[in-house]
Amino acid sequence: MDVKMLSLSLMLAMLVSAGISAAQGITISKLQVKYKYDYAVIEKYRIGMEAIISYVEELGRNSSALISYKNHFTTLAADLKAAADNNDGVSYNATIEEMKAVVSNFRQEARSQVGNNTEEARSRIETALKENEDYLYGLVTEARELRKERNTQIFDYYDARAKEVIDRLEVQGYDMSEAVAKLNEIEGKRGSFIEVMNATIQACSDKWVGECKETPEAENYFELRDEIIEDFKELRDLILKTVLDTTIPRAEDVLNRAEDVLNRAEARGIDVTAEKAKLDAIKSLVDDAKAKYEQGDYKEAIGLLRSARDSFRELKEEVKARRSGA
Amino acid sequence: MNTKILLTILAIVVICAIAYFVLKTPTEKPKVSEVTGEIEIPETEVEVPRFEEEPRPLDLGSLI
Repeated sequence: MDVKMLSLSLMLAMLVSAGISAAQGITISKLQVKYKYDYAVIEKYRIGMEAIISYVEELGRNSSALISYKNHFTTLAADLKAAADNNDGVSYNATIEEMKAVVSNFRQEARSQVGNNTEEARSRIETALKENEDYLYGLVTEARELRKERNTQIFDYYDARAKEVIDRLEVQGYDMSEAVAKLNEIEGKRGSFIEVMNATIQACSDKWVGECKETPEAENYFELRDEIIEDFKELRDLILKTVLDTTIPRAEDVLNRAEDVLNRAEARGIDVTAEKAKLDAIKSLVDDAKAKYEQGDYKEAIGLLRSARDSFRELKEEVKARRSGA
Repeated sequence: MNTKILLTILAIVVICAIAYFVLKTPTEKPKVSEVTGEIEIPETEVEVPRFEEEPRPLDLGSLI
């Protein structure tokens, strides 16, 4: 009984941790999605090659070289999958180039074997593709499904990352209520995002790779996708604004205190010309950050504040060195 | 005789040198007070997602 309970708890823990990692990581790579689409095209080529080989044999000609090219082609397709699974873009592109070379060799050999019957050979390819239409369009649908899964993972990943930032800032005492509301709004669009992707996949079930952009369903998808991207931009700006609202006045306060220290030193006859020049440069960076903040360019404002922070650390070190030196 | 005088002078010089270094008091120069505080910027890295789009179909050339 205890062992059963323990096993159940362990399984539950594994399921929960799997769920968390699925929500926080993007496990399907861009290259794996590309491979899925490319595989549909590769299968189209394989079916076409087989149609040509049958026709050449029907004509009583030698098909051995063509069979050899076809086998090489399918081996390269397996290599392509391995490259995609290893997320090795260089190897992937190199394999595609090899496949192009094999198709070129196949074409030359096929032309020499079919002689003047090229039109009939083309017609045989068309017939074979028509016979395998459901299979081929099914492969494209599978690719679109994988793309949908990757896009859902991308959504969840960026959602989780934003949540982490908000939680951390909340702990540090920032008022994140507006950002939390915006994130909730984004999370509310997750279901619709998946729905529009599903609707697009369904509407494009008889459309080949790259032919799914003009449908109303695809347009709905593009509209919602752009809306979500804009929402994330707004969330990013909202978080930056909340942080800058507090950080800029604090930075000004720190710099004013540093200026007091240098003024006092100067009054005591110490030469602090270099330190004051550096402090003026830092103050100027903070002023620029403030100007960018007022213009709504929060990202630039944070960048300028970071530069001010780094320069201020250097100034502190320089003053420290002077104190401990002669 | 000369050696005795020289040794005495040398001993006096050594004693004076030691006395100088022992009794010497360091002269304090005025120093800048410590600059304190920190321009604090918390991590705010919220990124905008880049969703995957359908690629262009692969073109390996014609078969015939």
